[in-house]
Amino acid sequence: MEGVFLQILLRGVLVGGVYALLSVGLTLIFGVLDIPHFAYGDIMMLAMYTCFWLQFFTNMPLFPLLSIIFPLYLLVGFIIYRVIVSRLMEKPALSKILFMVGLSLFLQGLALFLWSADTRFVKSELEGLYVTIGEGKISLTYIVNFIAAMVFFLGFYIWLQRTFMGKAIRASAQNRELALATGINIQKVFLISFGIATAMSAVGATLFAPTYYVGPFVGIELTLKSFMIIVLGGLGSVEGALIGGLIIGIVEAFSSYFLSSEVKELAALIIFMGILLFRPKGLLGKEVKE
Amino acid sequence: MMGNKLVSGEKNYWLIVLVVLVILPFVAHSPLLHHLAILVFLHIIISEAWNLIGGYAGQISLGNAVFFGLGAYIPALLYLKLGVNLWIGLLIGIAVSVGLSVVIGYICFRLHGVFFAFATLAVAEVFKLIFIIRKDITQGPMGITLPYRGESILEMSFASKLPYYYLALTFSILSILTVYCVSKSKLGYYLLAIREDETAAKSIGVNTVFVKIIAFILSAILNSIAGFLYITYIRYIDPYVAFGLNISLIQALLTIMGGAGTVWGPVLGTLVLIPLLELFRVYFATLSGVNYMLHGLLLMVIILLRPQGIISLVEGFKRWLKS
Repeated sequence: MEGVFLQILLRGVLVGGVYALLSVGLTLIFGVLDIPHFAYGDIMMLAMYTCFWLQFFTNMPLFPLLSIIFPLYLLVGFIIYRVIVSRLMEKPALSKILFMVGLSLFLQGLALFLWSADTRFVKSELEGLYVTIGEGKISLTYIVNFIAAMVFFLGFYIWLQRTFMGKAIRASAQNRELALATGINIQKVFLISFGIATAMSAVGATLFAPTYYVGPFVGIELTLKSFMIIVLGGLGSVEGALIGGLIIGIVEAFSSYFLSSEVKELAALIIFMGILLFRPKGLLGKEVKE
Repeated sequence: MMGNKLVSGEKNYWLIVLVVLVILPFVAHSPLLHHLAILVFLHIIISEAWNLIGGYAGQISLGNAVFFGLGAYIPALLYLKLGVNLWIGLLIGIAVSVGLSVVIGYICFRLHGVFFAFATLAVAEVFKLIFIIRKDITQGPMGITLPYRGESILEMSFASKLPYYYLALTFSILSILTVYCVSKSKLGYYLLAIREDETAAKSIGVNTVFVKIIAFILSAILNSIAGFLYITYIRYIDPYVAFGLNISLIQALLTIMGGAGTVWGPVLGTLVLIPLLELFRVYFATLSGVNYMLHGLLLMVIILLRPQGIISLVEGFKRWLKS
């Protein structure tokens, strides 16, 4: 029994690491730009489709794909900021929400229009390979994708801590006016933050895709999942995204083992509602902006 | 004297509109027109429902589909599985929606802005998943179909569109009256106060959570009535439609298009948009996803260009006439 327990825990941690990378961009967008990015998951959905089609036409393995996905979605992030988000910054909160939900619906429709409602699958070249741990075995895809996700997450964390731009971003998240007063180019901070956040989420989506499916409506699930994770860990906190991701991963792993794999999403949502009810400030107790 | 004349004049005007709407189906026999009118009435009900919570109280609910879906599913499932009369099913559906709106409201209304929006979206997602997973009861993603059982008001099955027309007309008038009464009552002013500044409203003694829950209950009732009309008219529904984001969002779109927080805004928005959207949907029937794109695009454009809605144009025109 103990072996099984540890195995489920490990499975949850492996998925949770990828979840952390999925959601860290959203925490950055909330923290720095204060934009309710309801289309966050839909852009990840686009990244998953990009992945699928690149694989389909070039038969590229998953990891070299990342070298295309990252710069491509950095650019996509820059464009979305310049064309759309920068116009929203001064609007009232309600307008921002509705606008971003509108964008989400638009992207869902676009995917449905271009690629139909068919469910597709991104391949991993590690498929069918397993590592035996104790009495059970775990797919190598999960392990390698977890390691890759952690490398990106750590790289992002170090970038935020050590570089000048990273420090400027953190300063702007803490106090926008003060950051402006010290001469930080806030427009550039917004642009870079949005671009990096989009690129990180696209990489996360690429690593997540082989263990999931691709379809026009996965975006809304991914948005909700990311939001749950960053609320659990405390909005705007990068470390919080890691903790929240691991919690959701572990909860899903246990509920899919003891109940059924269909129920796992439901379990995570219900726990999220419980957290909202009893600890609306997140598990780490950070102040949530209203 | 002038004032009195104006009021009685306006009353006559509304009476004329009502009479026209009642005799319209007999003058124009086109089933397409009847279908369009039914859709317009149906959407007036749900957009007035969203108007209460999104327009007056200023809380962006992305989960109104929950009540729409339950309003459609509960009567249909009770009818199909247990043979319960659809009209009793409607009442049960409304009762469940009211109970649930209190629970959901109690949880979600302690959150503000984005958090409220996300929480309501999460609730809708929970219901969608439940209805997909419990295949034994709900037939899962396949959806449910109401069979045609001959002409009968008890079975809510008619070959002609006319009975649906009058039912939808009645309920849409009721929904407009509901919002009208709310807007003239203390409740309406409380809601507006919450929209403008919730903290200030609280500080002058408005029980904000209670007031918002009352508005949410009304919104839930209207949505479950609309769900009932939808399932008895279209005679098919699946969890993706019933609890999908699109149902929650079209209410917001129509309301904002017309003018949020006004009695006639949602009506205006629906009258302008639904025929257009339906035409578009029929024209591009083979291209799936186009209507989603259009809904999303319209919402974005209105928010950027004219967040006050069409009604602000009408009022501007009225002012210009007077001057």
